[in-house]
Amino acid sequence: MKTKKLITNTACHILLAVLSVIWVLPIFYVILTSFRKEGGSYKSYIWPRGFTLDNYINLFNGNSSINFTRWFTNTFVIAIFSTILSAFFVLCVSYVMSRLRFKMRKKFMNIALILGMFPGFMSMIAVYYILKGLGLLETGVLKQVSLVLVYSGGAGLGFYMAKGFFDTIPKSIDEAAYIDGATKWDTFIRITIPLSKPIITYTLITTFMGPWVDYIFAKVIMGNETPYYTIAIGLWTMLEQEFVEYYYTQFYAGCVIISIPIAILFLLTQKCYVEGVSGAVKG
Amino acid sequence: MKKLLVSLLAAAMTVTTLAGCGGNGGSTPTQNPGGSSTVKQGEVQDVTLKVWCPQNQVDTGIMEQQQKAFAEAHPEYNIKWVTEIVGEDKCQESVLKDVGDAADVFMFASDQLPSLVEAGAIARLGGATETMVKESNGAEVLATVTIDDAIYAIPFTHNTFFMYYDKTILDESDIVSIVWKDGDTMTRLSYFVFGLGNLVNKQIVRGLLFLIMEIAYFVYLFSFGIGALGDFITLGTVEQGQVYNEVLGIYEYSTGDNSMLCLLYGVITLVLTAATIFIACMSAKSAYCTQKRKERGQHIPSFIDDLRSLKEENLHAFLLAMPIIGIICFTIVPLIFMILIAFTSYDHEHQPPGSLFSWVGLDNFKSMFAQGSALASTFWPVLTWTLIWAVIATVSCYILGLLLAILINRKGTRGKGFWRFMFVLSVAVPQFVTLLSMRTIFNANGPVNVILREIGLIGATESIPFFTNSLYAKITIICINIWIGVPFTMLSTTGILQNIPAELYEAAKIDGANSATIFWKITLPYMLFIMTPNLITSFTGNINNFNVIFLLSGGGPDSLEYYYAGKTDLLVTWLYRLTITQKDYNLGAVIGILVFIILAVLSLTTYRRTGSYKDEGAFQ
Repeated sequence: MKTKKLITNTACHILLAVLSVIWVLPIFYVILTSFRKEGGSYKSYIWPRGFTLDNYINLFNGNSSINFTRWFTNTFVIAIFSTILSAFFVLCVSYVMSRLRFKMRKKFMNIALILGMFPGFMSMIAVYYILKGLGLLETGVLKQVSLVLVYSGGAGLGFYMAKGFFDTIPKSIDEAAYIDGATKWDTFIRITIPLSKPIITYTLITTFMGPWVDYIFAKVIMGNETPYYTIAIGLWTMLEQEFVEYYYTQFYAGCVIISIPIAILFLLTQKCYVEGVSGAVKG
Repeated sequence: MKKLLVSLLAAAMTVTTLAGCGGNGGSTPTQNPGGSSTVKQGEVQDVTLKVWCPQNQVDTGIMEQQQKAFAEAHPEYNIKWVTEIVGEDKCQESVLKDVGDAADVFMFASDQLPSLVEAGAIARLGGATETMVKESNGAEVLATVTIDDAIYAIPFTHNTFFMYYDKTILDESDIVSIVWKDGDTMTRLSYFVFGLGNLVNKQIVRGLLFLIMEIAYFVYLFSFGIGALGDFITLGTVEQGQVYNEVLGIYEYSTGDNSMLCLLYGVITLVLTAATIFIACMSAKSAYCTQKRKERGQHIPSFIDDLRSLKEENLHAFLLAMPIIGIICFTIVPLIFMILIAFTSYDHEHQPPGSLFSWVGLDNFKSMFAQGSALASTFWPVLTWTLIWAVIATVSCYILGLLLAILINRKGTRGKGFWRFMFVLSVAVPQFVTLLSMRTIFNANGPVNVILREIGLIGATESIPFFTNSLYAKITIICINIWIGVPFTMLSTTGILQNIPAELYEAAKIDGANSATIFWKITLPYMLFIMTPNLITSFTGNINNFNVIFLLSGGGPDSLEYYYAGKTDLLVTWLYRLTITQKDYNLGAVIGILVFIILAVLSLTTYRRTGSYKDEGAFQ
């Protein structure tokens, strides 16, 4: 009996090991290629013939059309601003939906659900023309401002996770505060927010990751202003015809560089993701 | 004579019943108005009294009680009762059919009074009975039984019909007809001159704010808006082109109208108009509330009070203001715009500012569905593949993720955290990195094919067309999607797996079940039950899963049978191609609308049935 258990356990562990190798393989490939000495795209082998750190070094010595550092700072700044704005919107909306009762509440939730069903970039062209009409696309800096607005504008519709979290804070805490004479605003600022650190962290991190990986919206708004690109557009341009032969390996190096912070942030939030899903459906 | 008796009976019945119901009357002592009687002392008269009453009066035994009590109170009559069931709603019909044959005492709904009086079917009350009715009923109730100052009936119950409205959704000040009817002149004018009601009642700041908004709107309307609306309807009339300028004798380049901007400005004007109408209602509502407060002698809130209320009862308005403005500007207005484009001819042949496009109504939809057209022969296959893909992707990721979660979660596994970490790592890296590298790896001359050649599975110059053959492409994409999706489903199912009560498993083991049975009969049903909303969300997410398809195969391989679509295109990727590459914006918009309809139907029918939607207050 014990041997049978031993065999089953070993078999399971072997299976897990094999599966994890399969899963991590592409990442491995990405890292390998970033160290590869030979340039050029489509190669027929996986293991590089020579290793070098040049790719990383060259990334930071960009020229005018491929300026990795500049793109990195652009994206960083845009991410910070859109995070603050989006997180603010999301938290306000989820708190209101969870705690306050008013007419139109259910209607708002239904409308949010329905609006989420339209494909995201259907509105992209229209947004572009609206911004153009408002004159927000004149200069590069204004374009960045409009990108922040685009990312955070509709953020209020994504309140479900945060709302689920606020639903689990007992109402008795609020009521105790009301008895002591607090207004609803006071309760929000002084009691609910300090209690919500996990969900605030989660919201901040997820909205922060957005601008780094989004390509479509950023490309539509930025157009061809290369110095003002975000990192996603920038990396894609490295793969374009004129650049691909030389910049292929640098592309992978760039990918590795931005993957590290994003991976770390994602791992920080995955705990919340699990709890959020299971908590929300427990009822 | 009979009439007097009848009225006595009716009075007695009413009063006793009221006392019996414990209704509004409280307990009224049984009055017995000593009516004048023309009966000689000592004689007993035979009388037949026909009574019509509703079913419930008989069922509860009340009618019998009353008849007995009345007979006892009037021993001078020997009463034979004929009781028939006629509901108070049917009374008028039955009485008017044959007035002579109708009952002597009947109950009717108060709105039937005028026609019964006109038909001469009821007698006017007088004397003590009339006094009793007047004394024991309030003015409004009295009014329901009075015609021209004569009382014809005795109010029986106050069961009138009300129309209710849910105050959590509306209150009186929201209902325009109430505001209009009940409001004084100032309130009514507030529909047209915003803020008037407030200004008159010394709510200066609030009134001024409303007024300023109205002025701003009209300024916009007259300077720009009307033109915009006109252009919106025609979508531009002047084409860009060359106009011969007589004075200078040359051809001049005239810019013409830009249909796209016409449409956009038209939409913006319509939205602003809708907002202004909304503000008009708000202004009237505010005036009405102020008027009511004045009437009741309550304190009229000043602007400082308004600001303070923002922190308390109106906190929702304060917190929601900015997000809602953001949503309207960046989600709703663009969406309306794109939906409207679906009804125009804005495609690659009609690109503003060079050329104009115009409204075509439902033509685009018709050509999408018509048999034999290029669009239809693309639409249906793409739709089929989208649905197949969504189903397979969701199911495969879910089942495999669940199995993986079970594998990691079982007792014998060591280092659970480590294994989970390995899998999560693969999705922590951004998708466009991993997917692009997958594309390279599976290329015709990429590493995978080379390895396969070296192993000898395929010939020296052959390569498996991972992305260039439609069937292979579909299979490859599904497999790679499993690679992406399994860690997510593993994470979400792990949390719930850990919550399945262990007793279920132990009981099953005691009963001798093996692992497979446990999985099918316990784990799977439990998980499905809890995760149904999640499954629906992933299904709808997969229908719109742009990244995986676009980055891996670009929607290819392209097919000549299709209208700018490839064999692995989903509806959304086809939308992208039509819009960005092909510039057929109207077709893209049509597809977007169709996708939305599919998703809406699917989600709303299934999601609403699940517990999580109905039960959100479970924690509070």
